[in-house]
Amino acid sequence: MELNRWVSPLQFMVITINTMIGANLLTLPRTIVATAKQDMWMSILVTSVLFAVSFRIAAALAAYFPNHTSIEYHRILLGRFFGNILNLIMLTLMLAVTAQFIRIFRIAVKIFLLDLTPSQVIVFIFLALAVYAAQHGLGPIIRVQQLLFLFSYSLFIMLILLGVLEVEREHYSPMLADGIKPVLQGSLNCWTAYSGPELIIGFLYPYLVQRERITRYGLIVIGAVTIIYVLIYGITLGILGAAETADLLIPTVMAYRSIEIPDTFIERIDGYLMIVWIAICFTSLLNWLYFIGFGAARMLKLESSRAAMVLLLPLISYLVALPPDYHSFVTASDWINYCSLIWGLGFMPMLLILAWRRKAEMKQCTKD
Amino acid sequence: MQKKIPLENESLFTKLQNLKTLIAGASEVKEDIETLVRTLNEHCVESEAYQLKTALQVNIEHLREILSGSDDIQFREFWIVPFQVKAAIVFLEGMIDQGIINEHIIEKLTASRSSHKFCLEQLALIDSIRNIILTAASVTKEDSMEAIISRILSGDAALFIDTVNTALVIATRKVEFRAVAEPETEAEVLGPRDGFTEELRVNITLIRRRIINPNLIIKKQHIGIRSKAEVAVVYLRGIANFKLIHEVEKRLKNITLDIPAPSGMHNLLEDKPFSIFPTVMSTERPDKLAAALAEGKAGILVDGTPFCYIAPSTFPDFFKAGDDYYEKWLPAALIRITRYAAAFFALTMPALYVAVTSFHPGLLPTPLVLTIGTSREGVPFPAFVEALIMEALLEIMQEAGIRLPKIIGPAVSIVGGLVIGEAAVRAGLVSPPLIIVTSFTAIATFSISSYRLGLPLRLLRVPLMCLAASLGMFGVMCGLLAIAVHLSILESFGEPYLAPLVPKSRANLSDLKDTIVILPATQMVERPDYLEPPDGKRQKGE
Amino acid sequence: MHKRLSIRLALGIILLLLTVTVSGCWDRKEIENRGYVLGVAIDYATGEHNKRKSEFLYAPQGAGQRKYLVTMQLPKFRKEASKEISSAQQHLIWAAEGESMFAITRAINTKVYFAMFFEDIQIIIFSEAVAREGIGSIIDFWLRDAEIRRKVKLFVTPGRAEDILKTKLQVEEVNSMFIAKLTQNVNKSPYFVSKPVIGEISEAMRDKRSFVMPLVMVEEKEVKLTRAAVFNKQQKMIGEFDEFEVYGAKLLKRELKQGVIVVPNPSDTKRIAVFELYEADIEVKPHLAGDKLRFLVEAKFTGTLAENQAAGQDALDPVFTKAIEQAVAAEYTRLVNKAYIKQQDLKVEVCGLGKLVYNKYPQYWKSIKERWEEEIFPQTPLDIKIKVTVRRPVLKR
Repeated sequence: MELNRWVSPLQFMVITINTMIGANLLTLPRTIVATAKQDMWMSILVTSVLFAVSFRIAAALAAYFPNHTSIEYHRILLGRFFGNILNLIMLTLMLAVTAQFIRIFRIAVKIFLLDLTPSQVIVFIFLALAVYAAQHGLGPIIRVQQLLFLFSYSLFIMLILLGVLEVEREHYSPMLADGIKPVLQGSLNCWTAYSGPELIIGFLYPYLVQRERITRYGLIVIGAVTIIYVLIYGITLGILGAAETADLLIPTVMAYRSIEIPDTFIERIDGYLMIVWIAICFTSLLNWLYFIGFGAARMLKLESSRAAMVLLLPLISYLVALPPDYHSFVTASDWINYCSLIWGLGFMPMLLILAWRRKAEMKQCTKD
Repeated sequence: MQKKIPLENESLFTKLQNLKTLIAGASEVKEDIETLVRTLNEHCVESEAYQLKTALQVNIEHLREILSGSDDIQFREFWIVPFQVKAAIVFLEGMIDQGIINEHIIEKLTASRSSHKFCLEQLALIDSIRNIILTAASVTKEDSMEAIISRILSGDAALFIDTVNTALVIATRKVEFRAVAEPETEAEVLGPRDGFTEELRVNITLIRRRIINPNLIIKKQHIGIRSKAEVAVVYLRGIANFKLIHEVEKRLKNITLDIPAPSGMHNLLEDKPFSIFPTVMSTERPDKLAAALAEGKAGILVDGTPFCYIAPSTFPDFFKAGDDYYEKWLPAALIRITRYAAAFFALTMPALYVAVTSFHPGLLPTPLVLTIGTSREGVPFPAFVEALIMEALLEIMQEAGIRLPKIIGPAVSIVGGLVIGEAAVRAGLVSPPLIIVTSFTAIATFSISSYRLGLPLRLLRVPLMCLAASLGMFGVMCGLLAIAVHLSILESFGEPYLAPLVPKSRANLSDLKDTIVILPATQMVERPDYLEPPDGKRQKGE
Repeated sequence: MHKRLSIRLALGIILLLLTVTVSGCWDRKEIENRGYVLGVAIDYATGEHNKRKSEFLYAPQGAGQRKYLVTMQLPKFRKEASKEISSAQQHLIWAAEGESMFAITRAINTKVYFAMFFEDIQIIIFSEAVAREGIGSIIDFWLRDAEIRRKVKLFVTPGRAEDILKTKLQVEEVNSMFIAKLTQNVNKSPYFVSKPVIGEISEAMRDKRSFVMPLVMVEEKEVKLTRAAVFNKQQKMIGEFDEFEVYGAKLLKRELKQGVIVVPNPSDTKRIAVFELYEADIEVKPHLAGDKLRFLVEAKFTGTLAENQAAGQDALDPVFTKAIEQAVAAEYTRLVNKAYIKQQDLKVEVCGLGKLVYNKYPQYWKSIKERWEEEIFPQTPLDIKIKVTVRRPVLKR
């Protein structure tokens, strides 16, 4: 198998952080703020708690099958046919998330960097790069992510913190003006920002060391990501104000356009933010792509997932181009968001109960 | 008409026939010559085919056959007076110490003393000569012709004795070599001034002098099919991981080149020969090798080159200089960060210039945009072509600077720097900001501590520029990402090429103390964990 | 091994081919071939032009009228050799007439090969006539285009806006850059409103708030920033603040940082004394009692005695200092009241007081949100408590 090395907790943490933080950075403030207004940071906190629960469930489920990936234990739990259907649903969901992500990427790059360049070229180059990286197995993938994590995130957070200069405190108040309901609603919209680790832990679990502490590491990751989100989205809101954030298509970049300190060279931060953001997107895409390819190969019982990954390229390009306009894309991403929410908080617990019952039955059998 | 032709041209016909036979004969001759030449080419004396005989004369005949073509081989026949046997000593004239042969071999063997009788009673002839009469430091018995020949060729003298089918090989090697001098390719401020030479023994001495420990293991072997290059693998037992040593030795054994060039040995050891990044570091500095050995790495010393190869070598290693460790930690760390930054700029500066000027002037503050715009006004080329021209000029001038004799070196810099740069700007062919960018790039390339890492960076500059010219910043970023991916795919002797930068687990995080920054020496308690040394602690106590 | 190699080679070749084919460079545009629009002036098209010139200004558009004259100012790239001629203009001016901002931009593109590039726009100036008609419809383009930054500064000018861009200034700098830099002095002399940036105005438009912009004036070779044009919720200019009202409004908006206050000298009322503010701590609190809303302004100002024109008066005399402090506090109170009453008269509120009410009483705010400027605000009383401390008389007693 390609995956023959053991993944340490540190590497696991890097992978999960990279998977979570991706293209959503730029557009998500709009969807959350549209419902939760100035309390959006509370929405993020609520989602993080929900997501931690989902992650715990996924980890517990994986722990029942320490030597199998999720593709296999779905089959074990549901039987061959239904298991494969579930696998198909899962992979489709992951594909949809990836396609949505690249679509956002495409929109942002088109608007802010390359106005006239055909979007197919942008998408193709970016995907080809990811496919090239995914050809060499998990080891190099983890390494490139660790490298990029070190550099891109340090740069990114530095740029992000520059935003504090322009934040207006008044944009955060009043707290809970409309009660708790919009906050909860906003937290549902926020799910895409987190979704990822609960899916890939099913693939990664057999290769992890220190599995018994995986939940703790997962919580650390979720905490770190929450801090980053609250920081970025909070600063965006603080610069733009709720109404403006909800109104702009790509609020994060627009917020950073406001930062200008004359005569200091601190201006045009939005452009640099976009450029660093490409690297962040790349790591996220790499994970999604690799695990989809890996899952597909496992499902079809292929020896190597390379071919699957190469075939993903045209498939994803097609999916990316599928929504004809921005509105249908927004509708589609709402659907994808709810689907992954249902997966994380609906299907996963169900599977967990099934696994638990199966184990109880087996114990019964051995007792008898 | 048809009949007439042969009749009228009978003489012509015979002539033609003669010509035909002549041609046939010529082609035969040609074939003969070809086979002869081929046999001449193929004729290569296999010294294994010969065996040592008891008769001295036969042995000498054999030797003459094997070494027939060379005139620098010397046969000196004489009588061993005490034992009344004939003997011959064989050596290469330029590679031996005449003093040893005169005083410690021939003089001793031809002098007669009464004690010699006693010797023969106690020992066999050959042993008594070796153990009692000869006073040279190293005398070994050899009974295979092949080994003897190779010893002779590397400067030892072989003593053949009649009636005995064993020869004695006396270490008499004395080769002229360059004195230990300051390394030219790796200049340092505070480091020691001695550098490796082309002579393996001297190099080993330089290491032994630095690490006085019985566990410093030096394993010699010969590689190459025709020419036998002497190679020594150096490591510290108990510190270097045995898997690494095994891998190094395996790779050396697998070299099947017939005449390996010592200075290009690293190319035969690379993990991925197609990659443009160097994965085996070469150094001229013994202190650098000693430090690497202390970290748990292995050194490969090759006779004939002043460069020693260090295995494994990871990407951050190429940014380290000896001075980093001799300086105080904070300036040293800052200097190292500067080196990384220099590498980054050396790689990307022209590409960034192209991307920013022709795609995203929005990334620059307005006054800067206007300044660049003003200076580019009237330049006939697009920024990409302009940058490409300057890049080509830079590369040509760099190459000229290296290849030229040292005396006319300054002339190149004058012509290149002053005349071309100044004139190009004056003529309005190139804009001044680009001159700044190009010179900055060049200087940044020079300030990376490793020349060999500078090469791939120089090479990658042009593709990055192409990407910048076609896709702007997005292209540059994609190019950089592709390089990052490539670096993470690479491995050096089984270790990830990016090793300490991408810690495997939390325990390996301590490796970062000496990667991008440097902590004070007292804080570096552990050896690099990624090498998995058997003894991980560098500092004892407490 | 061979298979891996071939795949890698194939990928490499694909990437290489891509690089080559992609070299169409769709977005490439050399830096000197872009038109860096630095300033934009928007006027009404006057229709006074003769026919030929008029043809030159015409922007073809299927719908809409020939309503606005948009003038764009671009920098002039000069070769170094011609630097001696300093009397030459520093800028280029292009203009076109139409209703659509974008169509006008494209019409300008038929006159100059530079691609109009908006990322470096420093200022947008509206003529007062345009501003009084409403700028909401015009400003949409300047908010929608992806190249416009959010720190573009907006101004209103009483005369023709194009004149401001066309004037040759004393300094060797493009007018737009000069005016944009001039706004940095907003704290030193708070007589024109701060933050006239397009981002803030966009926010105000979304929140349906009123907003202000400074006025810019031109005379001979000089420009001047002064006062404020007041816009109501419909983005129509409905009035002006004078310098003192701007000063007071800044205090109400908690933006006042520095400034000079000239008061009659307590020891000699014919002469004056000057207080320079350098530390301000302002708080505005809404109070809701039943249905009645009040505002309380509490401010602590610290500063120096910058000028004492009554010769012979000991500036360290505590009685004198006290008197100065009281006089300055009274002057501040007057300014705040003046600004407040002016806003009540105009039925606009530009000091973010509504947001304060919303923060403190969100439920109450919801019930009055629609009526705030028209009904509630004009009837809300204001209490002012200002404390001034003169810390020292700079260098001299």
